[in-house]
Amino acid sequence: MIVNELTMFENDFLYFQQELKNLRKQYPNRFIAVHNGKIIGSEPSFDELKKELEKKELDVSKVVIEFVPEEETFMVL
Amino acid sequence: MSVKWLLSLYLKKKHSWFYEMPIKIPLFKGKSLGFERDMVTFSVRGKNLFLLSRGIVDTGCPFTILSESSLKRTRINYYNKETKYVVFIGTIPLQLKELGECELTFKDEHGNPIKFKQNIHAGIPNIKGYLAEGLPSFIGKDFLNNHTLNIHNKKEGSFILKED
Repeated sequence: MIVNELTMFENDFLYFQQELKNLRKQYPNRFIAVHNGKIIGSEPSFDELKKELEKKELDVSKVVIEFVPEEETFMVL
Repeated sequence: MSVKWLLSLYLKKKHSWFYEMPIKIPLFKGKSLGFERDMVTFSVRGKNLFLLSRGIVDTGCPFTILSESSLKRTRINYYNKETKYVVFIGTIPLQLKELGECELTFKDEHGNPIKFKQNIHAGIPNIKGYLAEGLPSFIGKDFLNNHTLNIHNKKEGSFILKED
């Protein structure tokens, strides 16, 4: 069960990464939620998106939520 | 659960004095803060806390840190916890707050769950804005040291290995 959830979570994040170029055009500076390989919501703030997902009775702790910056940031850690 | 994994568990228990199966946790290449990095997906279970997360495996980071954007997906009240350290990621000041011991679950190369206990910190940026929102979680050197784990880089991909 947990392994399936981890795999799905990882795949959703990889989907986000693959689509980032297009997402920048569609959702600049917005938060988006990815679940089961689909964009299931987007809002300008995290809290609004969380509320939206909770309304849909989704378990937010298992959903990939990412900010889509208009421009990429480069940082050496 | 695979037959190979069950067999390894059986052999490990029966012949633990000479038979130790290494644990291999595959990493994936994920882009974070502009560059491709070794990342891993895991779950975190603690007191009033459960979430799925992904983190950069960073031997230069002394702590295992959950990002604020990850913690916002839970109901835990992390903001009132005492700040232990203020550190910097790039130019961003980050308050580290202790969340205590949690159970981290990873998946190994055979797709089986592997659990570890680990003290983790919440990483709360002192600034607002898109830079702060994009900060990732980190699997730090403390985690690798506590569980005698090593990072291996191979042509076929990187992984965390526990040999003893």
